[in-house]
Amino acid sequence: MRYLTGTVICLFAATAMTAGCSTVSQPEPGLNTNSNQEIIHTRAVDTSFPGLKRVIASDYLIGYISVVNPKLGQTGNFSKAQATVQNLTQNRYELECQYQWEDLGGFAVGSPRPWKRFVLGPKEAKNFSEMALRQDAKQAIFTIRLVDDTFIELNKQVEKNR
Amino acid sequence: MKLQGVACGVVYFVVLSVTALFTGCAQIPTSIGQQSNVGMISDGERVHLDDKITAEDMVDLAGRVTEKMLSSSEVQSWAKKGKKPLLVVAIPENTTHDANIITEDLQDEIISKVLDSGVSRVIDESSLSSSYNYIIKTTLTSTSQSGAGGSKVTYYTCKLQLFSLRGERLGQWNEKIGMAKAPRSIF
Repeated sequence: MRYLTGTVICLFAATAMTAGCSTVSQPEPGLNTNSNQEIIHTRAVDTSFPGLKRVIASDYLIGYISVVNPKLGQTGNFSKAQATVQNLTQNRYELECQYQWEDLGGFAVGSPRPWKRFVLGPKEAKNFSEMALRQDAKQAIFTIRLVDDTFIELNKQVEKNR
Repeated sequence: MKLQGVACGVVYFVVLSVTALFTGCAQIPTSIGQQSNVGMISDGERVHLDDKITAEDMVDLAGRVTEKMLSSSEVQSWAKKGKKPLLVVAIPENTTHDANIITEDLQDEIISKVLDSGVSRVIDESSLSSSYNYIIKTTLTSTSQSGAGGSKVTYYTCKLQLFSLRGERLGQWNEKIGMAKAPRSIF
């Protein structure tokens, strides 16, 4: 009986453990998700600077990496944007960033350029600027994320299926 | 004795739950909507199987050198002249260690970016006449270093030169991409 009780409790714990592992990340509670909104405001989205939205597209980075010092200017007839990515920790981060340009009405202009990979050392801050290659591009979204690509994802799936 | 067994079980439960909390139940990003064995590469991804330059790298290089060119004082002055100049974008010269690079892809990217920018008109190289105002010459070069176990570092540099009709060099810009290949595992 003694062993049976122990075994039952262990089985219950193991079930709880495996059930917990399959939890899918849920959206932050209490979000105002009006479908006409330009973008849903979460901890990862900063729209405080007009014309340059900043998005931290990895939950792991929130609070550890900050995107500060946004700037939006002109070079001749072309808009240019700049943001500073700052590492608030002693970790070494391998990240990617990308600008997506929009016209004054918020329509996407052209296709975004390929993700730019960079390494951010402990406490390091780096500036990332880009000039729009079209004259109708007037505002931008700057996104940073952990390095990701199809092979990284496929490898994750292969590991999971083993 | 029975009570001791229950206590032992409770200890197991707590230990396993705490372990689960700190390992398995961490918020690991889950991929929703899985791919088949052949995955589609989304736009902008920098996927590499080796240290050779890919189409996405060419788009990146073309974007970066064109950005430098467009922000130069020479090209900025074109807008003040009123009339858009005629530009020839020459087929890029490939001096890298890889003869299989299709340099026309790089040329196409530069042409589309120059046209999108609206700073000039572009005429085809094959219909060359003396009626153009400027010519862009592009060169792709590479350097590489090899180390033990197959490790390798390769840099690709894209150089863009702007010449006037008289052959005067009005500007030169370059951008590079570096790739590192890890050494092979002995297993």
